[in-house]
Amino acid sequence: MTPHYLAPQERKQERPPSWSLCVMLALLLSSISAPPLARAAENRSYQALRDWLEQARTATPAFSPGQTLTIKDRTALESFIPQSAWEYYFFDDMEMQITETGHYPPPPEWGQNVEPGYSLDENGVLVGFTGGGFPFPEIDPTDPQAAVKVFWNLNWRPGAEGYVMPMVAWSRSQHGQLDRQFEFTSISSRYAQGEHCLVPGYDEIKTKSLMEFRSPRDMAGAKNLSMTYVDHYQEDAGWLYMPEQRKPRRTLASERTSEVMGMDFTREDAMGFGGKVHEQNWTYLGTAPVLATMNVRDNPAAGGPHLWVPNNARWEVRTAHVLLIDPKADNHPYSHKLVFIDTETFWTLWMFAFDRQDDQLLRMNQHFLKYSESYATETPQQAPYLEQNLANNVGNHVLIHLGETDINAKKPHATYSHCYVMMKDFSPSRAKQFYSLRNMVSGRR
Amino acid sequence: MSLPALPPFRLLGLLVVSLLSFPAAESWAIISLHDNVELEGFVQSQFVLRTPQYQGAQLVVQRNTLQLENTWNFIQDGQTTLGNLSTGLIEEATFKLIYRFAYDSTYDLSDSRRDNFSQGRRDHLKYENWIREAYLDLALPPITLRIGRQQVIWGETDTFRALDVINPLDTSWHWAREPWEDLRFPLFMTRAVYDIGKFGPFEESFVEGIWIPGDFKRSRGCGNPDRPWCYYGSRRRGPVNTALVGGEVVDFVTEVRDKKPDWQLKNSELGFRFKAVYGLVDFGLHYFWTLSDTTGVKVRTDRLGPITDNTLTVPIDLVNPRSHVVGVSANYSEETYTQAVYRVEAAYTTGIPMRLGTRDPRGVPRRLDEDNNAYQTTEQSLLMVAFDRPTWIRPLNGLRTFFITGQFFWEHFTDYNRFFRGVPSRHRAIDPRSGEPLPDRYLSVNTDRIFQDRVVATLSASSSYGPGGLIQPLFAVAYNPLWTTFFNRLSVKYLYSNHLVFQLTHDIYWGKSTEESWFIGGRFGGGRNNRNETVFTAIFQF
Repeated sequence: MTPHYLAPQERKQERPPSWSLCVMLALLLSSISAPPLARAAENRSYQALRDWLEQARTATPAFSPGQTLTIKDRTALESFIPQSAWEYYFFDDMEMQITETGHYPPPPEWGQNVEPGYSLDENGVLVGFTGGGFPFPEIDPTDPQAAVKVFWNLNWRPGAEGYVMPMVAWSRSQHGQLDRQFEFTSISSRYAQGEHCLVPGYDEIKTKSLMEFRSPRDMAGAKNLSMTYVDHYQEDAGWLYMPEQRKPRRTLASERTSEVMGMDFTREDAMGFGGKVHEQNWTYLGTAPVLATMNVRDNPAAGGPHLWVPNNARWEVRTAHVLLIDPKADNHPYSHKLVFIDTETFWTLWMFAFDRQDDQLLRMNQHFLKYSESYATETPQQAPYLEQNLANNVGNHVLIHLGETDINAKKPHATYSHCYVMMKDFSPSRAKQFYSLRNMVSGRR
Repeated sequence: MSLPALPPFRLLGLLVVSLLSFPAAESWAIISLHDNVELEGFVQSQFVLRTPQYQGAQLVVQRNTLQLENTWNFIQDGQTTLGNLSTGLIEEATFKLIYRFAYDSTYDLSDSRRDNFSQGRRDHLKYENWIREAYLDLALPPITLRIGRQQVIWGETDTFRALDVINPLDTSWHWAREPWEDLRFPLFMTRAVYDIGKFGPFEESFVEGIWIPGDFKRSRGCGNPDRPWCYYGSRRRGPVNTALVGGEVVDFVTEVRDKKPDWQLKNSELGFRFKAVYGLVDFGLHYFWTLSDTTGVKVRTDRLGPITDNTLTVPIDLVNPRSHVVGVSANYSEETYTQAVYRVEAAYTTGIPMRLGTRDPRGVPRRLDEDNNAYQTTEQSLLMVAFDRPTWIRPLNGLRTFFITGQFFWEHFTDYNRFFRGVPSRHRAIDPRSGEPLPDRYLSVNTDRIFQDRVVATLSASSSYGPGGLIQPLFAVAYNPLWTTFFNRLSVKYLYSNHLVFQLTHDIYWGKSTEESWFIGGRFGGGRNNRNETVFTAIFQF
């Protein structure tokens, strides 16, 4: 049975011929201790990205909507693709379909339910905010707290929760070598909705989410229940259910910098930044125009020599806030992180994190988004293992996450994922029952 | 259905080659049989080589397993896939079935086993073929029901039994060295969970009740000398047939009355627990009214007859007494200073059957064995404290943390006496006059003293290596400080693809005490009974 969602070239490259096992084993073992492969072709240092940013800030596109750009147009594209990503995004058979810069307004009621009386404390932590809108709809570039304000808008953006999201993730080495393919579903709801809470009495909860793996079989049935709190200082809570143990196990939330489940992202890198504000130093670097897979037609196919990046996708020029995030802890693996966040929707477009040891690129991610109202005319793929009524997305007026690529430049390795999101509102009683430890008491899957 | 008598290494080679060249391996995934019906599972081949003192190796287990797991979601979000039927209050309904077939080829490959057992006996030992789990899940918020044969696991402890005692264990084929999910005997029961949610100071609270309506099974230990993992005497091929009475050698016969609880309502088992989060502490209160799955042996001296025809016939009753298990468990995630999750579990168990015995010819004092049947029930308290900590050891792994977990486990008999005895062993009978071994005569000796306290500490560390995290090493150690014995496990798993997994494990038992109580060294560590093993496992999963 061949999964229909794999392109033919992916099927061919999924597993090496058996005779190469010994060679591959040797390579894998040597890769444990081998130094990172040299990358002389592009400058992927932190300083190079800062230099690029200064030059790109005022760039004007030498291309126009309706064009399909290829490697021949690289020079025109360089000002709009952050330099750290050039090595991955510019390749021989690349195609970028340029479209008009769109307008993606939030839900009509967005901002109307915000309870006043919130503020930022001395650590930049948002205090007293309970959702319902952006806490800081207007960003003043001269505001010393502009960076954290942008982050808080990202953190409370519409569409970040309230969905059923089946996913497929391909974990690949160089040359498209498929190491693992994961299937899992994340279901999430926002409890804090401004002047009311989704489940009455649960006012301290910001979000609850439940993620369950479907394959590979050694992970099938693994579930993760996580909660975040309105009080940002309160550490998240989480339980992991492993079918082999048949019981949930409390997990430590404060460790966020280890790679997750053999994939190439960390919890702190989720949507650019998923950590704690007060553990970082924040600097606002202004805005810059960047190309983004903002309202893609469909889950973009993987391309490039390693199948690590989207190809033949729809891109548009967006203006992004650029945040510099420097971890306070000396033992944090990153020296600096730059996150590009859309100025209209406050969704993360690009993220680049640099190795504390040498200030070279360590990890990056880029996100594929689609506006819910465009589902009226374009329907993306269904998940290969779950069919949903994606027409439900129309009317939500939110951006929907169709996937991302997470590249570890030092290994080098990447996890490319597709999300097949259906927005879903839970009733209070259903949310109460579903996002519960009781739901973690289960069988094998 | 027996494999040709190939040398083990050839069999292993054939297996690896055939799995690697499996043509459909790239495309297999969970198989969707229908819109809401899925099939998954695995085929596994496991080779256990015993390497005592690292002098030679003996293939003791070559277990081939097929497991099929079927899931049928026939009601989802209140919509049934069975046509226009009303689902009433049922929001979700799922049927799950897990089937396992296993074949241990050593009963065909090993000369000693092939020659010493009849075909019927070998067939009995080498095959396993049964539907392990079959249950129906019904979600009728706020109640969730699971009805059918299933496993229920309580408590916070890993690989030791305190509150995780609802399902008995089968340790006969590879001791407790396999995932307990595969060792538990699933039982037919009804489990109901009533979700409370927020309740006073508690969050995430629920009440759970289980009812096992008479489906009683005993734990299966390593007492069978036909199995390679028998505690003692696996090389003794004869039955216990001899007793020494007053310095005379007599034939020995037991007359067993097996009083195993049968499927009757009066043999029901019931359990309840309340689980909730209070502040930062996730805790559970547990009670289980059960029948001990450890079998007690009552020697019915009241029915003991005289020795006739030089034969001593001893009536014995096999019993599983009523037992109460009450306990608490809790965990706490300390995120600021130690960045670790702490776990604790405490249980008090009554009705534990215990053998009484002594080498003293005067026997066990009557005040300690009032019924003169070498049997009593006892009570025990158990305490476990543990931590889990994802830890960066960057010189060893710069990409991912090590998951380090440690446990301290303490068992204490509250009504202990020095005549408690454990597992009897089979010994060659010695002629009391000549001191020479008697051919084909074996007697049962129980020198296995049980001590009032048993303590063990465990520590394990695991991580993953390689760009995709495909190489997963694990190091584990268990240490008994009272007897200075150790068990070490070194293991590496290689995820060759989504479907092929290889695992190499080496288990080492250290220490020479023959009275060590956890079987983590000592009894399995020294001399001819050494159980050091190398295990190779290949899994094709789908």
